[in-house]
Amino acid sequence: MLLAWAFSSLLLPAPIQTWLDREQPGWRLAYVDPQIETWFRESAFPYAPNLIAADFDGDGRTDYAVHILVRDESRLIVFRSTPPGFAPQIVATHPPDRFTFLILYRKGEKDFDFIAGKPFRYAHDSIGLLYDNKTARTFQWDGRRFTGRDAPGDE
Amino acid sequence: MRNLILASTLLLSPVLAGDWLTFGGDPQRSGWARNEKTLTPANVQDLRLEWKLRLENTQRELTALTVPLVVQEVITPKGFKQLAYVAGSSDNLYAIDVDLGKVFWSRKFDIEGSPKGKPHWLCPFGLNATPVIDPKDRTIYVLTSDGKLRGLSLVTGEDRFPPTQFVPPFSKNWSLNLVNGVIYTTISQGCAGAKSAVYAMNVKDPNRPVTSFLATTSTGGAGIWGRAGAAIGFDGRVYAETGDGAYDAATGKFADTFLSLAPGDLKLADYYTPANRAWITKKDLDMGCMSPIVFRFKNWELLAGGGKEGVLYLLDANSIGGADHRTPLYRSNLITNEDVDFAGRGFWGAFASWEDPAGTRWLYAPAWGPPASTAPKFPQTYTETPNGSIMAFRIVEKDGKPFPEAAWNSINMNVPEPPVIANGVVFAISNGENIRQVDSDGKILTTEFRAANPAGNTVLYALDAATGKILFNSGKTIPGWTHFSGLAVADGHVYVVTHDNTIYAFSLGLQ
Repeated sequence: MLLAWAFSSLLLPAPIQTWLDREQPGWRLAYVDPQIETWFRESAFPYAPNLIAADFDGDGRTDYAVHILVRDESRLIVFRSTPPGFAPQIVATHPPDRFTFLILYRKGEKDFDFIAGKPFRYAHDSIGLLYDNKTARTFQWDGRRFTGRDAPGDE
Repeated sequence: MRNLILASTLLLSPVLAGDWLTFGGDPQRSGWARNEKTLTPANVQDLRLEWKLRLENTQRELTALTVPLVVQEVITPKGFKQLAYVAGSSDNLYAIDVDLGKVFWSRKFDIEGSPKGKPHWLCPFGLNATPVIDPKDRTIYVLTSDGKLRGLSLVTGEDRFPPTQFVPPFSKNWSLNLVNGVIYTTISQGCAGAKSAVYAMNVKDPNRPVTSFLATTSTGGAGIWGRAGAAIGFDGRVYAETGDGAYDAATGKFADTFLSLAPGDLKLADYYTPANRAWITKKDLDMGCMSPIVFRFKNWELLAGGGKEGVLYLLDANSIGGADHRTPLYRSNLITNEDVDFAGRGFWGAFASWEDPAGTRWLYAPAWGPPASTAPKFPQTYTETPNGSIMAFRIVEKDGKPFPEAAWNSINMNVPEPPVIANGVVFAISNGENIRQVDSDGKILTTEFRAANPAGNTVLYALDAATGKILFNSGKTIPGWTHFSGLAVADGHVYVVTHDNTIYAFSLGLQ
């Protein structure tokens, strides 16, 4: 498990690692319970519970969502590819929790909005932050920045 | 003198081979008709419809009749009678003479108050809980839609005590269970403002005190809607699975969780929440669609359960989630529901289990939808199972823990209800129901639409418990469909109910 965890961080592009080292000193990828890692592997999710590479803004380039631990706080940071570098945005901070993890919603994927009571499809690849003990959040690119909204299940 | 003899006979009344006194046949909800002697793999191909009876009940949305209960010998003024008891959604209860296929007595209950709002299939505002029978007291307990528990004479249907408020009026309740004089039920869907909960009433106490455990702090969420209600362990502990909703164990929110509650007072004894609970809730993969079952395997007392996610759990009843409440004894790979479909996929209802004469412990799972690509390979299969099947597992010990070893996957069923095992035969029904909840635009389908567009008709199957081979199927004998139902097997009879308020009794006929 630890190997997979360490390997995930190696997948981060150097500029992102550099930014994290500079701006988030002491950072590490958020710890995820081994059961979550096992479940991800069994489910063949093509990303890690704390690191997603996808095209979140629809420009054809690969962006990154990284769930990290800095001191006693977990942070979700999205790095939008803006060659030659990346534009970071901290989209969520919360107490660390080993059962809180990221999920990727693919562009065009169907989901159900339980607040509006209707189905929808994701306009871009989007990030789900699934908290263990509070309502899930979804983060999407709105053309200017990433914005989050509550994304409850059938509660 | 006659009454005296009758009374002493009643006090000594044992549970007979032909008794089926509660959903799943026992408080553990095993689905094992362990005393069945008549039906065997060798003769079950000769099953035929002995009688059917349309009852004067009005459906409430998708619900109609509860799973029948059976008492083999009821001493009545007309002699010994074998009676089958079935409740109707419009607050009816029928006792049916099994020999004649006719109503022996019936009750239409007067209901106090009326529900606010319009019913729909999630909240039908009707009688929904399968009753339970206390054979010693010769009493059948029924929970009517006004939330009152009624205890009635098995012989006459007369009240044994005044109707007593048990749960919130017009809440949605699930099968009653009874152990040591305490009646249990569960609540789901937030109907009439009722919070999801397990309720208990001590009917041996003249005051009939009620206790409850709320699975959540607000109306809605964490619904306990496994149709078998709560399962009771061999030491009296109470087990249930909850559905989607808010989760924060520290503040009493237990969505998508197995609960273990103390007998009677329902204090939280233990719980197990899957590590990926947030995903289960987000994707509407309720675990509350199942009731757990309890059985013994070697030195373990095990719970088996799952839900719409399509994963099978085996939990140690003595520590269902380990020290951190998040560690199961066993969690399978994804076995079904690869599409992550919340409406018609996954495991629904309840598993069933028995121990064969050679000492092998079997587990049978009603799967809705096909096996996932990650499912274990079943050595014995029959057809593709796009709609659903009964999946059979042998429980073996592997690496010091119980492990469900895949054995066989049945023919396609559309879709299976919780099975019953009797004497080496697995009885299962393909319910024929339209299980879709929403249309392609996400609009919730109405009861009228679902009722008018069933997936087929109910088919009763008898399968070889060791191989899954079909020994009998009822074909088109049962034209109707059924919803959230099950089976009863007692004294050579197999009972099926359908949404058109009909009860069917299959048997070998006169032997």
